[in-house]
Amino acid sequence: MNSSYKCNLKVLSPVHVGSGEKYTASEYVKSKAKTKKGNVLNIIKRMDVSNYFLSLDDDKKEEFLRDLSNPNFNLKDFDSKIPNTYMKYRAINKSKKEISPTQEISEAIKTLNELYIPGTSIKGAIKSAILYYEIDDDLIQDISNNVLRNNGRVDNRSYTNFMNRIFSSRKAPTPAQGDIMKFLQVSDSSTIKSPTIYDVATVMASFRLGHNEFYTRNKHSREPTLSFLECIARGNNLSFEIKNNYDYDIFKRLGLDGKKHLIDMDNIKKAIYVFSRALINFEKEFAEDYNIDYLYKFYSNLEKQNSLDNPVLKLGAGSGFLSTTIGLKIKKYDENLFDKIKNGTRGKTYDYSFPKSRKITQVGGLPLGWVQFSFEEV
Amino acid sequence: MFRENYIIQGKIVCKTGLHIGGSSDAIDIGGSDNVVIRDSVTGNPFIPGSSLKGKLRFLTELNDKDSAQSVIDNDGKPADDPNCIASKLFGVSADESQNELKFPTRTIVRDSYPDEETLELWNNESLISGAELKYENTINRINSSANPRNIERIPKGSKFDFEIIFSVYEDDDENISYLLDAMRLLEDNYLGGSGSRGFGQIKFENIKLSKRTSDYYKENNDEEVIVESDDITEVINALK
Repeated sequence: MNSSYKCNLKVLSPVHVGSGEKYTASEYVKSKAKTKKGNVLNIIKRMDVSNYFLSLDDDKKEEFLRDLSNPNFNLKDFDSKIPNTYMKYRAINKSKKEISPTQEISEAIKTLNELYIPGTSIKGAIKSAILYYEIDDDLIQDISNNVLRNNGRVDNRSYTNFMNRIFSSRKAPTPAQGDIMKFLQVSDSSTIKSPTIYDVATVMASFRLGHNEFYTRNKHSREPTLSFLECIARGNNLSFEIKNNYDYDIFKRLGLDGKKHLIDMDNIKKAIYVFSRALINFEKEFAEDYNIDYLYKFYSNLEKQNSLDNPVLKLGAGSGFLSTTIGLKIKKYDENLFDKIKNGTRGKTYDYSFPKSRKITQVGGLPLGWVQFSFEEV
Repeated sequence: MFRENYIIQGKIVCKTGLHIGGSSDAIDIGGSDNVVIRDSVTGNPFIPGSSLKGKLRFLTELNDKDSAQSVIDNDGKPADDPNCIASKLFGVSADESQNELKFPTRTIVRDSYPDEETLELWNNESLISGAELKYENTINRINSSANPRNIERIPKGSKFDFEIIFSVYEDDDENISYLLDAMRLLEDNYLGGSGSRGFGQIKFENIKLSKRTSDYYKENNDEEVIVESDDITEVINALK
């Protein structure tokens, strides 16, 4: 069972896979750019501040360091004609609200200043879908009996055993050596040059059914609290590869022959489709229950796009509890068990709709991270 | 008796980030625990011949039935049957062979160092001594708790000059095609760590296969260039 697939990932809503870094106006300059069609775009130019600093004379260097200690420091105020030779990349600014100099922008993961989606993110999301599709009622019972202890707290040792039971062989010297997922290779995606910056708010279910509200740090303000994220914008297509190098003759010694279906591409496609279908249904119900019309519309369209051949999946930041766990499956099996996890995980702070918040872009009202796959065997 | 050397030279191009683990001499606050191996003189990352040869051997063992059987018989350790292709091509360590093998190793894989263009590419503010730092997470699928880690890797687009020497002796029955097949298999596999989740996809480019007979060394004769190509499959076909 050796197979290789060229895959396409179409971005259906902005995807943010973070690099772990944040930056402020001390590292960028706001500007405008014209598209080939003549449209004017708001952009920011992310600058290579270290090299720019080294290019300054001694007096300017001192001035720069003095200004930098001001939290409102803006690179453009320091030098309105900073040359493009110090530019690392351009980002398209689609945020609805003006980005203040102190507002941090979360950087997307990049390689040599170009954005991509890491194979780790794609494979991790696929693994969650396979897990959701694979577990049956007996395994859910096993989670209940062995993994969740002390009012819903996860016993890490039992959790590891549970995961190994699904993905690893008991015959192998170590679970890692006998992990079926290591025979599924998922490459990093191709890159794109420019990120798009969105301001992202958190919409929450209200304790009153049929109502919603935006999360705000200041209880006296109605302004939603925003995060500014570098994303891969809707409409981009990225390519990546999936290879399945399970060799029956060699690896049956590892006792993995009973698990080979887990990394069969037809099974993977179905797992992604079924997992996302359940998630979309849940999100539609949530949007309907709390009257969030733009989310309901988005998920109604997404439901039509999700298919066995071209399944959709949620990736990266803002994916949320339900798309990274088997919570939906547990909820379907036993609401009380799901409540136990909720209480053990987050503490019992409210007793309605868990999870109650969703990240959405201010422009377009889109949830983050939805992509659609297509696969071509080569 | 020695007959000829085949010299395979070219570039290894990283199609995705590459992590071949090294060790850090110092504990840096905020530094990575998972650093890449670096040349101690220049401080630049390189690809050790042992990593490349090990992977080529592993793929040959999977690709040849007798070699695979020898791995199985040897409890998962490298093939040590003196008659299988993997042992003949890549040799067997003295400990494993128990002095049964009386012939020299046919394949020598040199360490691969970055080319000039790559050193220029690495002169980028986002890199630290030729490597980028990538943050990753393991997510608990029950309660969604995250376990973050970071890992250094050589960025996509980096190129390394490689050289592999394949020696042929009188009465040798194996040939270089097994080695070239392993190189082709490697392009569809990965080099270094974390390969099943995106790292280590490589391609061989600017490949030059030449032959140096014993006269090249004794009489100072020219080497015979057999083929030059950007595609390993073309190199394989040129030998058929």
